[in-house]
Amino acid sequence: MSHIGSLLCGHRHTEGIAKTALDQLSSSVDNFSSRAHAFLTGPASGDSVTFGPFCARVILENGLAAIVGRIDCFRMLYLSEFQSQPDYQTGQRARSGFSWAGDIIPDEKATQDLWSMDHDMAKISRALFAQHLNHIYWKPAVDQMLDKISAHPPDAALSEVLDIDAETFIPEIKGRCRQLYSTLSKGVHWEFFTSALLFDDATIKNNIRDTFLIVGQLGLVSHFIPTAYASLTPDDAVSAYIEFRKSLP
Amino acid sequence: LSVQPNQDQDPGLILAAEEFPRESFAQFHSFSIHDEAIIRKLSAHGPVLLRGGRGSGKSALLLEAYRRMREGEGALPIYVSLRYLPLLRTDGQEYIGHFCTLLSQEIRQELSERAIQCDFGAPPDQADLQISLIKLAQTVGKRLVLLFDDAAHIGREKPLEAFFDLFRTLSGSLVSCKASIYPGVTKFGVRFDVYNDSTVVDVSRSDVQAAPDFFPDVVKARYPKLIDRNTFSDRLSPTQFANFLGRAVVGNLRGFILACNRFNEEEKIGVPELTKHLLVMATDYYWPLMEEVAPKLGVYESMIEPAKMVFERVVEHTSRPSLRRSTPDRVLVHRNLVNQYSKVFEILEYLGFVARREASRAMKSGGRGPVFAVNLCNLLDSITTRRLTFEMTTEWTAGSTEPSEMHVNGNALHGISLPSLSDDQGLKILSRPISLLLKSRAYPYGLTQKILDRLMNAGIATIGQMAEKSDAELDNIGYIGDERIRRIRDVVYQAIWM
Repeated sequence: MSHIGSLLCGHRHTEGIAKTALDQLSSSVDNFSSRAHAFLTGPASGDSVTFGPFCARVILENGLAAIVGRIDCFRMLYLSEFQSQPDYQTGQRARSGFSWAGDIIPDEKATQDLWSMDHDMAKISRALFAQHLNHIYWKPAVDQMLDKISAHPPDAALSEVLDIDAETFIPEIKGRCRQLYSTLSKGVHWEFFTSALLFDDATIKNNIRDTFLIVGQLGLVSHFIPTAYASLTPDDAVSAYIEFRKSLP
Repeated sequence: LSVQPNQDQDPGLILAAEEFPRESFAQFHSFSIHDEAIIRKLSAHGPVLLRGGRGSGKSALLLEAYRRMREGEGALPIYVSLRYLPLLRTDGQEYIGHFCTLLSQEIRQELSERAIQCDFGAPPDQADLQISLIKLAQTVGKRLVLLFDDAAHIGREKPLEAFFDLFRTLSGSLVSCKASIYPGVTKFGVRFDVYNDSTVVDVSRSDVQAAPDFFPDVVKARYPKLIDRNTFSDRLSPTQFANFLGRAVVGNLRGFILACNRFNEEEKIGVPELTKHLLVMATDYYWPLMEEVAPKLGVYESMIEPAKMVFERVVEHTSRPSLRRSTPDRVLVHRNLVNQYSKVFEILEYLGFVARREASRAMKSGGRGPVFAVNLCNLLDSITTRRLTFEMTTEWTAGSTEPSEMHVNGNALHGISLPSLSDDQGLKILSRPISLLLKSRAYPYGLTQKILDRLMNAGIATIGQMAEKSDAELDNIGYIGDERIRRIRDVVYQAIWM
């Protein structure tokens, strides 16, 4: 699965703790992507049903964690430093650890007034799909990305990207990620108490493909956030996306 | 739509996938790699809304998913066409009652055809239906996949809240709901969150470069003559022809099949023949479409006139001579204009006059807006020379020209006012006289005057009355036998449904 690691984690010319964290995430995404890609393109098998959801879930979580880290470097550096501490216990839940609900999906109520004088800073979510991040980072980045793509020669690999609209991109991706995360959980934790619920080949492949498409599109757009860390140049980001998309059936 | 006697022998006359006999469906349908992913999504866990214009191929995708699941062991698929008159006329609890009846009937039939020993019964309401579905899934040990075709139409929004409520309630881990809907469906009801309660998949084929084998494969499956190299002039290959034609009708399969039927009559096909038939399609297919569909649009019927005007301005603007070397085949419309005429653009997309190609592109003069691919039949008709060149066919197929731009500050749509919408009074098509169904440009396979006279003499005045007559009642009318009953049904079907 070509270029997925760099699409999500950026270039490799970083230094220090950030390099350690991004290299680790990139290596993990690349590793699980090649396995997931093999399940996606191969025939139905017991292994794909057993391990496919797990691979997809790792790609989804690590991929989005990498983007969180590139947008909010403090969060990535904190987690990396925290996990290196002697007091860090793998057998104990860390309240400041990375979590899907909180770091990716915001705990916030939809509000019309993003800029009310009454907002308390501590309560403004910095989750990847939070309203303020959508306004500040994602919407302008989508437009920047589309401007770049529209000047690019027509390419079938870019047709889905041209359907993206800045206004609906994050609300739609958030809904799809929620559904995907929950579905993949059933496959990871093997929560099947009735045979009718067991995942079949179509479901496994559909979920793997959806995971790739979601992280791929988010990865592409992330390189157009001017303050994001380790971003590829716009040309390199588009080339990486095209290569990635062409390898996805 | 199938509308001629003995059409089973001639796939060119069947324009809607749902009317193909099941045994020959696979023989006459082709699917691209992108379609394969959609078909898989229609078979997998999770709720899906399949969105596309009239004739874009939604039913074919649902039916193919159904066919493949039926051949496999994984899930129990049920295909339900919601083209059922009582569903059009009701909403709320009454709609739910009819929906339960229809779905239960289809499930019982599926169980019977597949010799599955299980009594589904006739659950009368939403709660009972949900329990019965879960019980069925547990009994057969399989996930149920409910494929609802023609679930939501533009202009038929009254029962949509009830439908999406049902869709949300019935969807679960043991029951996967999938439904085809049209662009422009925006009323999902208060309980249904389109981003969280479903995955929306758009069916769009206007960018033929994205699936360069699709239209050639469709031609191959149905028109052997049109893949024969000898049918074409030296410069035009069968593949180029199929892709250009696919682009000409902005990927609309209904339009594509009708166009192929015309070309199939030609001895030799070159650029002059392409020009001739595209121009004829502009007059004989596109404009009559507006006429045919207007009475089916319910509260939006009055939007047809502005839609015609907007579209005339769009093609006029796009084809206007300029310093550009080539005539653009797409138009970038400022988003404020699209918002102002939103229902008009939805109708144009829905009918296949245009297809949305990009969601948001920056304009040279400032601002952003969507890019629409324009059908090449009307575009060619609007160009001063009304002549196609080989270079135009390659540029338009590749989408390599820069789109023209309609800015909000320009006067491109100046003076086109939108009527205020009246209260929903139902579909006027049902109260229209049956004389409307006389063979015409809008109804090319319509009824003869003699059949209409017989029906009128029997006291049938409106299309709604005719739709309600049973086969036995029609059979009692002199001159009307089995064959003509079928033909009448086909034409009434075309008249009422999209």
